[in-house]
Amino acid sequence: MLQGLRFAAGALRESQASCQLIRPAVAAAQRPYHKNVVDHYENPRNVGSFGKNDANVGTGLVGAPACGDVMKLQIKVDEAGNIIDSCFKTFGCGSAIASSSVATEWIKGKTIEEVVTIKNSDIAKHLSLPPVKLHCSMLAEDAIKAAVKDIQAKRAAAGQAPAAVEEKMAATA
Amino acid sequence: MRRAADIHSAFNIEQETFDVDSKQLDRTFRQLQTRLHPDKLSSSVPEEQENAANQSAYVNGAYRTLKDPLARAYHLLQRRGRSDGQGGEGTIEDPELLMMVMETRQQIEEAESQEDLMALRHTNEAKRRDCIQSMSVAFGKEDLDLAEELVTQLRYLTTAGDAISLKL
Repeated sequence: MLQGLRFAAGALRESQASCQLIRPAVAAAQRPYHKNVVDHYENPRNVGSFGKNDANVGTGLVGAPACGDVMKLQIKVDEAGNIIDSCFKTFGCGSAIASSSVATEWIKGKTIEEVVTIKNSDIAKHLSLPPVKLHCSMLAEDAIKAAVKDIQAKRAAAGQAPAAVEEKMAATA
Repeated sequence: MRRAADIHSAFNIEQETFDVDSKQLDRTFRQLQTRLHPDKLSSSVPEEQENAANQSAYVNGAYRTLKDPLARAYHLLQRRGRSDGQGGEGTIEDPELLMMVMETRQQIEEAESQEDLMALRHTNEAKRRDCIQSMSVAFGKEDLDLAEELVTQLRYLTTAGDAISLKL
């Protein structure tokens, strides 16, 4: 079935070599990638990068030591806490790339409070991930949470600064 | 031969150390292969032949684990009650390590020429050697916390190395 899908052979080999939980030959013979995974792998949405130091950007950087995957998910958040844009960069297997691609699609237009309720099982179900790849969707869930944590920390720090400045002004008055 | 997880003793290595004499390991492996080779068995008793086949499989697996520093490290951590021997099920958020990994993988992805890739491989191999050396020291001191950290680093360095090899 995999032969029917037009992957660059090299790209697929790379993705499978990076996630060595199952041997590539066995994976190909026993379980072809679900079409949603293929879709997100061949046409990943939102690959890219925002400025890490942008005050409105939250960055989630997570890793899965079990297979050497690394995932960066970023969100652009407006004053009201709405995610107006998102992007990702993932180095790992097709399932990890697809999971993060799905995650960035789903979180756009939602609030940061809403997106932390996104469960890895939702992502896994959407991609029909087999049990050995469930950790890929978990990684995406953790990336979302880490990005939200980051923007909240930035906002909290920014929130304190004006008060600190006021204090300083009062002290030197 | 003991069917235990003590793969070191299967290769006549007394202590379950991280350091292993690679050449001696190869020699012992060849000896074991010869002894266990199915053609060497004159007996036609099925149980004996099956027993030898099982032992042979065990020895092959043990050799692969002892030969590869990463597999060996996972094995030792598991033997000492740490992690599940595969780097754990969890997600990590170590910013310093992950930023370095991202940068390295990015460089590999963007590399265009053979020269660039060979240079990246050279750097990566040096980091791997340093990591393995540090791991040896950590295990020697029984500093398992440090060993676990280093095993994670080695995992990522190995994955990066594979990515480079695929492009070359």
